[in-house]
Amino acid sequence: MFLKSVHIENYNQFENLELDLTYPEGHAKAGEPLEKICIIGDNGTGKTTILELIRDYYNYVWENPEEWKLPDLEKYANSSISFNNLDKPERFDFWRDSAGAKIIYFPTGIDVEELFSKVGNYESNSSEEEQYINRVNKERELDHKLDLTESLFVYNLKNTQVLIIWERLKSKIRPSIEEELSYRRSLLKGLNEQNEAELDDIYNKFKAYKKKNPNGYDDLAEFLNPLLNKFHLKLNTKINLDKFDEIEFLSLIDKDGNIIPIEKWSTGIRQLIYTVLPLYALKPKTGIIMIDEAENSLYPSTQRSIIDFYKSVCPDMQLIIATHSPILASSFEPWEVIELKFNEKGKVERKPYFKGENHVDNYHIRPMYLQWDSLFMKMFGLENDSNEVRNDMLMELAILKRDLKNSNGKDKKELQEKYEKLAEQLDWATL
Amino acid sequence: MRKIDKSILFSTVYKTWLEDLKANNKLHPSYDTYRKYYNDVKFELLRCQLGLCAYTEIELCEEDILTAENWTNGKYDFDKEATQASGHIEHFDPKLKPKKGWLWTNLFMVDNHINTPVKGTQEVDDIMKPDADDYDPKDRLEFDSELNKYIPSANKTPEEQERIKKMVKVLGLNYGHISRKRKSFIKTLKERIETDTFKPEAYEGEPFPTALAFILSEKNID
Repeated sequence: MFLKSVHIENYNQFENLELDLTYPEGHAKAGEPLEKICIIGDNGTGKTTILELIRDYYNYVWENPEEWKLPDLEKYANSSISFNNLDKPERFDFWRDSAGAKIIYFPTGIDVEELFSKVGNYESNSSEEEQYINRVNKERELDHKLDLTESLFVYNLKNTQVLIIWERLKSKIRPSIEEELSYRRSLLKGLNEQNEAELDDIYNKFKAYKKKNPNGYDDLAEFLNPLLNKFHLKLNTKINLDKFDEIEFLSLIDKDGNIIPIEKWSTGIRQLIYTVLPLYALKPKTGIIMIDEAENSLYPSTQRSIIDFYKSVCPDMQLIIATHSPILASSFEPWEVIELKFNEKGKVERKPYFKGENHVDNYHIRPMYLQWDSLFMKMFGLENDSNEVRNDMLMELAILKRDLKNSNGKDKKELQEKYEKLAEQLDWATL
Repeated sequence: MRKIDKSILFSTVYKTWLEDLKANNKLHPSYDTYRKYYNDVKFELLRCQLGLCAYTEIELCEEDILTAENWTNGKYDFDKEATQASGHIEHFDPKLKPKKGWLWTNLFMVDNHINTPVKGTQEVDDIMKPDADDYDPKDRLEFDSELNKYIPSANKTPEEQERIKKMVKVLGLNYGHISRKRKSFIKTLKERIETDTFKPEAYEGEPFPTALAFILSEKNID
């Protein structure tokens, strides 16, 4: 299920917003729903509102599955469906694939600290029996909260503790750990520790086994490490598999192998784990992922790769993000970008990036072709490509250059030094 | 910033009204509430400025809405739907606005983003008034086409250069989005000159005529 179009009439800042969310003419996938969408726009243009409307509408449909009739949803427009604070119902058209439908929503304004707050508070000293009961109870809780096997469901990350996700992931990883432990035990059975050749043989066998059968935790490390490396961290794989159930949460180490306790994780790491871990744990196959303010707490170099990373985690899901980041926007094709703008009447509309027919050849803005300052100015409404002080200093530089050209006297060297120093401060490459 | 000839040709009703105020030594009605001649003034100014911002020379409207046929009996035929023009009427000397809000010689059509956030109510200096008798851009300014910045002419005295420099900032001649648009213009122009595809007629009525004149002079092109 992918979102194909959105129509909002007379709601808040929207008067008659029509969003065609399909590939344009001339594209190999013309007419099909976009695989990724980026919503940008000034504060108050309704980026979050659109995500929430999709979520709420979808919840409604889920709660009334008998009403789910595609593609004709016209009746909702004139029915008495109650949306959140809506005077008039909005209508969304969905394109549904055979595998069913799901939405995973990462809202903004989440207290990431709070989501991580219970990590480390587990009763690790409880008896084995108590641990088992705890685990069963947790899994029941998880089944209730996280079951995505239903055909229609909105999974809102707002109220979900990251710890619950971790427990879910552990339950998925556990069989592979048990398998590895069992293989290890079978290898070590009847081992003569004095026989070095036998020890080498066992070591090589185990190495070959690991290469062929990485356990779930190894897979997780392989998945997370490229991203963690950007923060100069990696997943600690030196764990005691015999006590796998007691692992409270992900353990991260720095380049020297020092464990970084969770309370010392940066907000950026927490933010990333908040989005990436559920996607990895749940491995959703179809449907929509919506992330509000997807750039939150991420350094520009991480922002550059995050969209590709999300797509690599869930390649068959439709990714919809709202952002204020030109770097994130530069990961999208122009037909995938929805720039919301206030018109003269104070209503919000979509700024078209094409002239004439909606055809790939008619797009005059290509985010991937632009430098960051051009993105700011062409898509993010910034009037200037720099601070005004730079502009004033460029004028000073032009005056110095003119004086330098006109000077034949002893002040020429001094002028040259001044000119080159200022040019360096202004960045020669950009002059 | 070109020299602007502000002879009123078509908005003659406004012209007569203004002359009457002057002859009878009357105060101007409030600029903010009196709108009788607003469109006559706006489009006459745009006509004098060939559809460009008086200071920055970016485009405010198409020239076809500024021809004689758009005026009837000394008034501009304003059509809300068909007449598309951006920009604000700007009072060059803001101190004259309260009492002489409709004084023709103090009014210019200016890009919206220059009028309010940049120039505002800053003090002005007639040394850079585009319709002043002695104003000539080549006398007041030089243009560095590589850095894309207007600077005061080296031929002026240091004091005059300081006054001009200050006004270049007040009028937004080098302001961010203006510079940005002008940069694209210069780049295209220079490429065309370099590739021998420059056609002077293609630049008639186009934005940035002063930058164009400076660059052609720099390249010794007539």
